[in-house]
Amino acid sequence: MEEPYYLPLADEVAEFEAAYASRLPVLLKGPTGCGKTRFVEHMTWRLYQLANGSHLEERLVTVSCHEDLTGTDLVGRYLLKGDETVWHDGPLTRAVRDGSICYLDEIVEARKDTTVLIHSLTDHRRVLPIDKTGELVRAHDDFLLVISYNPGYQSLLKDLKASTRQRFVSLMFDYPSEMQEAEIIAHESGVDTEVATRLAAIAVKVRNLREHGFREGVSTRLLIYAGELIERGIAPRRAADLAIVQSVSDDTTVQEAVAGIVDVVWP
Amino acid sequence: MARLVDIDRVLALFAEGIAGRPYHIKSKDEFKGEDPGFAGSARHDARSLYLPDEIAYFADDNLNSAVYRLTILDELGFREFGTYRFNIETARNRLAELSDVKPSSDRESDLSVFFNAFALPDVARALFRVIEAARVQAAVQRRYPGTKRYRQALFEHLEAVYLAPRPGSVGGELVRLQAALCGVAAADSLLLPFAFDVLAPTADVYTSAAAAQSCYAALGLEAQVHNAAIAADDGPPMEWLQREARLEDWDEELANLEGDIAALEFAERAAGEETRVGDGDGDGGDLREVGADLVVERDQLKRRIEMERSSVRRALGEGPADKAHEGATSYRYDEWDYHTGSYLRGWCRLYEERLHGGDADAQTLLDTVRPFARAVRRQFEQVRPGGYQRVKKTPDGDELDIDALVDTRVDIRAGMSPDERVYSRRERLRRDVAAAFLVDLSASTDDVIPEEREENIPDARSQDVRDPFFDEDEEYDFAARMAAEAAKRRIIDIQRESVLLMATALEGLGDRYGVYGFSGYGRDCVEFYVAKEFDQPFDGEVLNAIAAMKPKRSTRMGPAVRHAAAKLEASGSALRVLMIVSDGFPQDHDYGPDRGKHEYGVQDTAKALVEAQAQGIETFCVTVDVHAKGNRARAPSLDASGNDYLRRMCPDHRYMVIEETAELPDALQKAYRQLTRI
Repeated sequence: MEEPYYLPLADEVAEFEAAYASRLPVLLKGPTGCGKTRFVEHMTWRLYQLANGSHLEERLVTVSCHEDLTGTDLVGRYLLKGDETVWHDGPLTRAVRDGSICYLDEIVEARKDTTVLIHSLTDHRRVLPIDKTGELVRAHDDFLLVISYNPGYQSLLKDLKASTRQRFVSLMFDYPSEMQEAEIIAHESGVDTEVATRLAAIAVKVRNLREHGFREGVSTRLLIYAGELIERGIAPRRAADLAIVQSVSDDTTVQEAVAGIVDVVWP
Repeated sequence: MARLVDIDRVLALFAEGIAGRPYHIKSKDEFKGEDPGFAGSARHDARSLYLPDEIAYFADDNLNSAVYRLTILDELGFREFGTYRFNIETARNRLAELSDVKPSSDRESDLSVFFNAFALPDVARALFRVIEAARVQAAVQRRYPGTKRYRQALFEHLEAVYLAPRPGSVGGELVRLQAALCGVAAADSLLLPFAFDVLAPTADVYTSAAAAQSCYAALGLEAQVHNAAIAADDGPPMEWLQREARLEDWDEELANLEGDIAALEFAERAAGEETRVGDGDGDGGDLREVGADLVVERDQLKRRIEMERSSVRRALGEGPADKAHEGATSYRYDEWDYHTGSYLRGWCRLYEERLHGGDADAQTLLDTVRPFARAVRRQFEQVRPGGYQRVKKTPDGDELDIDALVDTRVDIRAGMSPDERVYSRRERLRRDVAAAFLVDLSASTDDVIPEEREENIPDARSQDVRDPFFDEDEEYDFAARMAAEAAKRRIIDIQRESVLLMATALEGLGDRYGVYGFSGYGRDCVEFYVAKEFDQPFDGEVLNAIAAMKPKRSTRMGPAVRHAAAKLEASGSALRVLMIVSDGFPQDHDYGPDRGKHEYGVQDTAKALVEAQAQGIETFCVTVDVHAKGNRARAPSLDASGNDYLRRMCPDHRYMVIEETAELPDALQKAYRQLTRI
């Protein structure tokens, strides 16, 4: 497969490589849509030296956590098959057996029992106990656990427990600088530098409003969407309206203010 | 016609997005400095933008709103493009003729030093202002190219203004220069060739300064004759705005110093020294001497900042009200005028700011509340939903549901199509409630409670003595202490304690809640204090903030209710509850045309409560009326003045009058449980 595009913002590539070399579990912190998932994909490609013809999924198991996600969903369950019940490994168990990277995205969204489940995988034991089958799965040598979480919108209920957090090496992410972001937008969406620079300038201004009705600011991902719409022939202001103004907030006052920003920044 | 009151919230957000920090959007009438000149122009200072009340250049209101945005960009441009970064040393290197200028004092701003280098500083300032504004506008247009079409549209309207006949004075020459720099070809300005450079992309504030010098020279002797005419035409005091901007640098410097000192103190403590940095009488180590120097420097800087801030405020015409709202965000709210049966648009300005307090107050408060807290919390915990519940017969889940499985097998054997929902899963039960507690912090809450002691002292013995953690000694101490302090207890104490009790209870219940206080003085200065936001965890900071709730000024209840309702609306919870804890009728010195009558305030508050209800918010008003006690003949909803205002102010059954302040915690709980149906 091709290298997943990732523009390093600091030394995070070398740091992740060092963590992987020692098989230290990694925690990625940062706002939504700033490139955490892409970073993990890029690192998987690098670390496993994926050749052409191979697929990322062979080496990277991504689970987007949500509030109904239970330990069972990660570890596995009995399924009905004809007259039998058959054990079926969950994504985490598969990664542990195969030696892939298991990436639990937005871990705090998941139920508490899932976070406890990963404890034995993240220390020297590197094992995964499966209650229902009585099996103790030893992690493959290549296995690594990566989790992400977004400290920006935690509430008291959705904080990561210290006992969990302190098992990980933490890499901090934030939105790229204006110039870096313009480079990313141009690369990913194919728009020219001029357009990408304008989109990045809008993003900086809109993120100044993070406190008002939307906690996240506008993600790099949304900016790339705007760029892609422009590439497909949608008028730039309309594209920004679709991908940025309407997407950052449902509050009409905030929308109007963001629309005002887009309006003056766009030529 | 675009009206400022209609769009000021959008404009405030727009300005914050552009500048990266909040600005108050105010009417230009509120600017207390010089007259803002021709229509469409605006003013700014470090925290506020002063804009025209309405803009009606175009038939299309979108264009009029766009002109507002353009105006904001032009004002913010002075900061963004470095006008106030003007440094006299750099100027000396860049400008040939500017040689021997010395500041008269170390607080004089660099721009002021520059202007004073001219024989006629007023002429120099006026020239600089016109030229610098043109430079900033050109820079705004380059960075925000979307403004170009608005500026052009506006230009057609303003051309006539520029071309109006002017006397041949310096003032007229300035207007012609301004017009020429804006691109009015017919302006025929003599000075344009000297100032044209400032429109180039490379121009900075020193280019403008140089242009001002050249223009000044070109005006020659004529300027001296017309000096007086200039002064009257002067715009915002740029030197003062620069001093205001410089204050921010000093604040930063101060913060750095504080950081250094804290680091040193830490290092000293680590070295086993117990003395604080700066206490040293010379026999300490190097660390301590360095520290002492730093402390002296910090104190000097602090004094300098304080003096400078008060001078700047006086010069910019700010009153003491502005001083109190450092760092606050402001909002405008309508007010209901029942005399005319209509809303007064954007009538009140509400400042939202955070409460901060020290640990000492919090400890006292905590000690007072502790004996109750356990019982209240337990009461609420009894009704807490069970956390998880197993739901059977689901299409997906963590366990097979044996009953469903058996049914399925039976169906298959019987040749029927089976139900595939054979799993069970645990589902979380959650209350989706957001509650806002709005506490009246008017001066009257400072009143000492006039009742007999016994009734006011919470009876510690009535607490649950079967509780294994019950400490009888502690409770006795508490009762004794309370008895001693009972005479000094005030309404505000009871309010704070009740709110803290509710907070403790809701922590146990898991509901989201916010704690706010309000007061203020006059319609331009409604104060809204945040002790805790909905999503903020309850911690020491929140406790200190609740303890820091102090009696302040008036009770303009309408805007506070509207603001709390807006917060609840934004919380996104399904069930939203607003509980007001007050000690009397709404009151403010300009709440209604007649100061002595409260009907206007009552009606406005009633309207605000109705608005909240219309937004789906459950409201409840608890009023502490300690004066009613001696007068049993009166109906309970009458306040001290015999005014049955609560019945008119609050929706049916949505209020309660408390005569004994000790009832308040109980009343709050009952009301809360009733409202949230638990």
